[in-house]
Amino acid sequence: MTTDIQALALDVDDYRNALRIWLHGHRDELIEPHAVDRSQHIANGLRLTSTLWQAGWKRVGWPTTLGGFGGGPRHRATYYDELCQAGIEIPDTDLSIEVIAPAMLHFAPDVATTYLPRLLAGEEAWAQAFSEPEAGSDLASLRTRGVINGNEVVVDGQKVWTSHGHLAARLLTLVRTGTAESRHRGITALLIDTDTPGVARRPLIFASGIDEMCETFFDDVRVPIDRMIGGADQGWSVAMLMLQFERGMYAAQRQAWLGLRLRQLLEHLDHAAIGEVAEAAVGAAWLQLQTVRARAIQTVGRLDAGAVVGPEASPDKVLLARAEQAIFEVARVAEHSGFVFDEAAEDWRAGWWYSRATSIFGGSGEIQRSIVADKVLKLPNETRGA
Amino acid sequence: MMIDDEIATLVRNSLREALAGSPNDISEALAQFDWQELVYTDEGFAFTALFEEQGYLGADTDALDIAIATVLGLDGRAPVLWPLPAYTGAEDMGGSGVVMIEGVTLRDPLNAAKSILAPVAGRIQMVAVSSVEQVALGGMARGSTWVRGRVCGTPTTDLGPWCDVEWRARLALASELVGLAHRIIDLAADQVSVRRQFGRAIASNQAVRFRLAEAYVEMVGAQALIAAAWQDRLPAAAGWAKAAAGLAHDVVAKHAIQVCGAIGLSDEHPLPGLVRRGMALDALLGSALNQQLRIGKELFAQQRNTESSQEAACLAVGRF
Repeated sequence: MTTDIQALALDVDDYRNALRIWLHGHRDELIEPHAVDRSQHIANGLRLTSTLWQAGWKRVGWPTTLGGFGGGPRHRATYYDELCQAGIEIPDTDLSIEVIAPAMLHFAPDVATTYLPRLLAGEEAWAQAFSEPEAGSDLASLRTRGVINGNEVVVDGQKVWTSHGHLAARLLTLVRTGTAESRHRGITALLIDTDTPGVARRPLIFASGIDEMCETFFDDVRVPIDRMIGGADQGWSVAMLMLQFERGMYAAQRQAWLGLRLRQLLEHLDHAAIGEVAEAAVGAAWLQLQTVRARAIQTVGRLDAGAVVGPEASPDKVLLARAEQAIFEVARVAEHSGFVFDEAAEDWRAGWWYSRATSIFGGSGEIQRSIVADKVLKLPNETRGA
Repeated sequence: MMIDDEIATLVRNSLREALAGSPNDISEALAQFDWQELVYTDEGFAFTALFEEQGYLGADTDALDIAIATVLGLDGRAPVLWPLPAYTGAEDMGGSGVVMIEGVTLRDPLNAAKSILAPVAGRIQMVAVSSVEQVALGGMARGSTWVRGRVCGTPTTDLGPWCDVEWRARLALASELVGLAHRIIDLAADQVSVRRQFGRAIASNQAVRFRLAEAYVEMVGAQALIAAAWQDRLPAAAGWAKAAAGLAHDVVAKHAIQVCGAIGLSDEHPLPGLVRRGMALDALLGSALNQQLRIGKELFAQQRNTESSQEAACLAVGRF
């Protein structure tokens, strides 16, 4: 079986068709009941990933040095798309995979070869720990210290809003190795094991009531220097490559999942109670979803061609947040959706809260609009325009 | 021939020159330029480039009729009678073979036409004209060459399914809306970058910057959906793309009108003309708001016809 799949790897259309047929035949055994408990949720995702890695489908899109079958971002986007078309939710670890793996492959191929297969094969969950209490949208102001001392980097400080960080085996972090004033020039990327002495994590309860994120404290944490991703003080370049995928590939993954959610919403709503207001709102949400999908197709195509995706990924992020918010807004306001009180609508309430975060994380909507105004439209800004 | 970025730029520049040189009659320019050949090479690119450029220049031509004639393989051209949603379509006049059709033509006055192209019974048909009532179209089409009319005539040639014409026309209109939106953004960005108030460029205010950034996001979103619809070549996706382009033009227009201030609402400013043109294009072949409601109704209906959300009834646009 796996050798057949390997032969498909280079033709995206063949891969899509074969995967679609296979998923159609196997989806009943692959779909897990929705787990409210986050550790169960992550465990389910790892099991699914492991199954699809063993079967060979997930190996497509990844280089052979990592146990993959070759291919690239278009194959991976197709994988996510087909999972959701078959009614299977994309495992949360795949979100980390897309942000972390391409940058690690590019900047630290040795670390990638050693550790990435465990992430890709569903053996471990990882998380991306960038934000700090005093560094959210203004990432270059981060303060977690990293002092290079012989063969170690000694880390002290705090990270926050790390998605599923409390359930992760390793954290991709950014630490300050330069002076406090060095901004983006003095930052280094590190892969830190969460079982290292001095790492303490505390789950953070999201507005939905789910322990979606965590904060992490680093107290004299000793990280081997070969866990550096890119060189010392090269962390900003690593972060920028990660952001290309975070804004580009994330939109591809998320739109696939939103397509599934929209179908579930149509199933959830009481059709007899639906009027033209809700119908028009669903139509509008559908258009926004197809728009972000079309945009993601273009951006993934550019990533696949090895092009640098710069400011043009910002519209994707804005369009994605808009589509996600539109879909969950329908869930909230549609007649008899049970959104406010019904037990059965718990998942829709959780999704609604999360949709409000989509215009905040990964560079807020305001950051994206500023990037478009500066880099694309080249408008004068408040300092230049004076 | 592959259309790479370099060729694409050359083509667009030539199209822009051709349209600027003869803003009211481009058939000759298109023939010289061999746009028809481009249609055979890459139909999506040929349509997208021509209609985005037409939109960007705010030109009022019958490029749409020429494009459709090309696709239908017609040598000469006959004006297409484009249906507006309020019109009823072709009506059989009591079994005599004569039909009555209402619609809009883009350039040629109807009463000069011996025959027209029109949708009759779900087909695109050549219709020999026997009588015409026509009136110049006003309202948001004021100043254009559009004519609204009622034609009685006899279908003579069946040229294929109407939907094959309709989806291409919708994508052409969508690209023209994108071109208009692009021009509007450029106009507004230039104006607010140059004009100063309170001692600084108007565009240096975040509220203004964000409006134009949102306008840009709308435009490129619609542009992407048009590209994906060409990839699919499915009538439904073309309808989505036109709706998205109509909505994008609307958002872009309103942001631009706001940031340009009073001058942007005076008739001497180019903005109102570009806004009117967009509204007229949006109305042709189904407006965005009507589309939105229709899509919503269809999605609910599709869901009722499938067993569960595991069956992906709602076909999404494009492929990765």
